Amino acid sequence: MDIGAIWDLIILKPMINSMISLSQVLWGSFGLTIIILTLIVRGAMYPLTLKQLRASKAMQSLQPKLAALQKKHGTDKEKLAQEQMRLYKESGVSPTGCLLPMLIQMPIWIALYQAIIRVMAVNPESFLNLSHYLYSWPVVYEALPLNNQFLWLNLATPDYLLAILVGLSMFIQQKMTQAPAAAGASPAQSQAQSMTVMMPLMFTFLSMSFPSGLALYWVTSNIISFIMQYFITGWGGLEPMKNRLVERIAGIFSGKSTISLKNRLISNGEKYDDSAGDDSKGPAGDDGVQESALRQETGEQEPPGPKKPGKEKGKAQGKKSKRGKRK
Amino acid sequence: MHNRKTFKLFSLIVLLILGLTVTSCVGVGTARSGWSGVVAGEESVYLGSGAGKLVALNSSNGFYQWQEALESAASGGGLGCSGATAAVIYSTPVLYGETVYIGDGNGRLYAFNVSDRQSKNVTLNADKPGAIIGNPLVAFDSVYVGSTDGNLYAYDAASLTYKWHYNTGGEIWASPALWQDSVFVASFDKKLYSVDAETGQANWEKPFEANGPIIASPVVFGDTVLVASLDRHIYAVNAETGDLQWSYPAGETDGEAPKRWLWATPLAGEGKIYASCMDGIVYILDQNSGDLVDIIDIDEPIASTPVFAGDRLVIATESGKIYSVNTTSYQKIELRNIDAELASPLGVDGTTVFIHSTKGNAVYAINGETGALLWSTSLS
Repeated sequence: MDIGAIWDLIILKPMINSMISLSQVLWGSFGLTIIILTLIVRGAMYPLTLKQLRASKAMQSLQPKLAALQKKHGTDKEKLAQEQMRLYKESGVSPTGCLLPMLIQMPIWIALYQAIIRVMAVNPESFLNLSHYLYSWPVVYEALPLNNQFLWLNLATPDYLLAILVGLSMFIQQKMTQAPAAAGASPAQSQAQSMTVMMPLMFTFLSMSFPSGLALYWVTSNIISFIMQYFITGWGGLEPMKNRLVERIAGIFSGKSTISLKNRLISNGEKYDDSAGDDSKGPAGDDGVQESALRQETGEQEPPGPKKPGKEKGKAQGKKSKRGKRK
Repeated sequence: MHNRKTFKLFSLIVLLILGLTVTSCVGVGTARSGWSGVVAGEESVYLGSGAGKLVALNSSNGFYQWQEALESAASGGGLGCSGATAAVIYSTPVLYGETVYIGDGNGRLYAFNVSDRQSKNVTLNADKPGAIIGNPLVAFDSVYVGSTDGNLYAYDAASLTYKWHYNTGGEIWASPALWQDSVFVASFDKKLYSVDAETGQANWEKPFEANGPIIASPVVFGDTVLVASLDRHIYAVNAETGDLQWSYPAGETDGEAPKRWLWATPLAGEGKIYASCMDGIVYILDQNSGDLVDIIDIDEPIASTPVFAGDRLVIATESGKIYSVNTTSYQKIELRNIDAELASPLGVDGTTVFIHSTKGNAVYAINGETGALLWSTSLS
């Protein structure tokens, strides 16, 4: 028996037949079956995912120290490796800690993906081929072919909206797995950041060619991933984007959109010319008031950086304004 | 610094375009190659090739006579792969006088005149194109053909002018069958319909319903129409009323019930029904009662519809093994192993059996009694 036959017997056939049987409980809806089976499989994998995410978080927390070691022993590779190992040992973090759970989960994800492709049977040849994977359970034989209509989708044909959702959800998920970007990112971090753009783009275009049933699986899987990620590691690399979004929304509600631009410049340590913000010169001075008020509301500390006269003025104006409000 | 950034950006764009071009060309599932069978004329055999062409070969030596490409279909990937792809042919050609009728996977029905090779074609449903999987049926100067859009269509056989269509509740993969002035059509909605050949009106009060979709074509013998369903049952139905006469297995499944799909169309002959199953067994049933007469264990899945060659039943397995079964003693002999994937129905002319492997891209002619290879032609 070759490895392909063993794979089919142990993993793929049980997955395919479970999927078809499950569809009978779910009114024959293949779309619903994909979602529920993805949830079940991801739920069953939860302990492993948890382990993987925690290991990944621990690794992220070591990044500043690793960067410092890199800086210190950049040219001496041997010394660097020794110091890194010492750091891992002291912190109780295994550099391969997140790999093992991922490797164990990988075959299940692949089987789920293959099962969806086979059950979807996008052409007559695929449908005939499906017969080789079926158990002789009556429920399996009476359920086929499954209903490919789900919401607005024909799961056997591509759908552009779902393809965009695949890219978006994957971007969010990938961004959340990264540590918030620090200034002077290492080459590895830069590479990881470019991958957060490349991978979602690739999958978006793949989804434009693939049947939307697969895209539905990817979207479901990504959403589950980033929900898990949120509860375990928080927003991760998405934090700055989220903050900017919150600020922008706050700005829209208070009717002043320039606040976000200013905050962004300040948080990036860039120079923000607030000289136009004198009381006598226009609304920029009010921005200072709002910026300060927003910081107080969110409990956010003033960003570090050289203090500028304009900033001081803004703060003073903020105090003045609050006093005015109390009056 | 600036140059490095430009280089990185350029590399990213190149990688992106390369990735997108490759990914947009990727397909999912088993590749489409069709499974058209072979039909024999006086001096020629006709088939739909895996490359989407109607091919005519000399029936005595297999030499090419002519080939005509069916119209290609537009296809589109995300990027880079949009263009035309060859038609896929599942339908076995039907020869009627000097005209060969054939349908394709894009929902077009063709009529080729074999003398002057002039052709006509019609798209069954331009608004919601389906695929023609089954064979056309020609009778009463009309051509009847089912589509995966769920409709059975009737066209004028000479002009391909639309006459009527009858809607079923599911895809139609089976070929229609004729009995008196009725056309039978089976559907994925698990039902068998009887339709008036002239008007397209339903004949039965209600269609016959199985427990699973019906892919195999209906077979008529006497006043009975027989269907094999994916629910692994064979049903004999009264052609006049649509009432069930018998089914096999009749009750609870026992050790000799089909364990997998009945994909191939059953054959009826000399009081017996021969039903080939994907479980590798040919079930021989009594035509009148549906009782099991015997089984022939081939031990490999059978997707191709078998044929009678003289007093023998010739069966092809999915892996390319060809067997001959004596229809009196039910003894089987392995005739030949052509070692090519087979799903196409077999064709026959006297004792010569024609086998088309779309994946192997070849046609074989063998003697159905001795297994001698008469000729083989590569369609590459």
